[in-house]
Amino acid sequence: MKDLIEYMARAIVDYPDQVVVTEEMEDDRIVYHLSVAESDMGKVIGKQGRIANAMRTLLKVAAIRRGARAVLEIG
Amino acid sequence: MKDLVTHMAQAIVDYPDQVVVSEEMAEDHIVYHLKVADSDMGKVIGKQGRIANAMRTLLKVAAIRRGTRAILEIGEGVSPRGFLPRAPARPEPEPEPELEPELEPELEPEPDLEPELELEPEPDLELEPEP
Repeated sequence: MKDLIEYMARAIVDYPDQVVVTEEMEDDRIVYHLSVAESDMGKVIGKQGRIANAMRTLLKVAAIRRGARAVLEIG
Repeated sequence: MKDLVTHMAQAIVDYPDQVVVSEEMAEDHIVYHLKVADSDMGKVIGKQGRIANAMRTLLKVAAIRRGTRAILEIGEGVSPRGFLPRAPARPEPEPEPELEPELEPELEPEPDLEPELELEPEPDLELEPEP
């Protein structure tokens, strides 16, 4: 799932090499932390969080398939 | 971008090896056609097309970054069993760009031609009689 986030983020930013995703287990869920170049922040969040929410939607489904829960934090 | 679609779809289906993405160039955009196992159709579409739309949102941004436009189509229309709503599988029609009202070409009124050219009667040439 980390792959998925990296893939999605790299596809939409200007500086794919600055995309970093870390994962952390927290109780019963996995927290993914996505960081990108500062100038790319707007791109991964989008107007009213549309892009971020699209990534969260896909992440959620991927997590459910694996019987887990996942949260995506940006920044 | 084909990779992106493939990657997103493979992450959410039960049969990742049955994910097939084909791409087709249209005039000014690329059409990506996503096919998955029948039993995975619901997964890539989602309730009210939520998953499909999430993929489209990301694809759209990726396309814009590359200076192009992309459309994601899922499946092949209505399934034989007919339980898949057709609408969510189709890309939302993009709002037509507002066309500027065509300016009526202002025709210049044709100037009345004045055909009456008053030709000056050629004066009789007074030819000098040749010597």
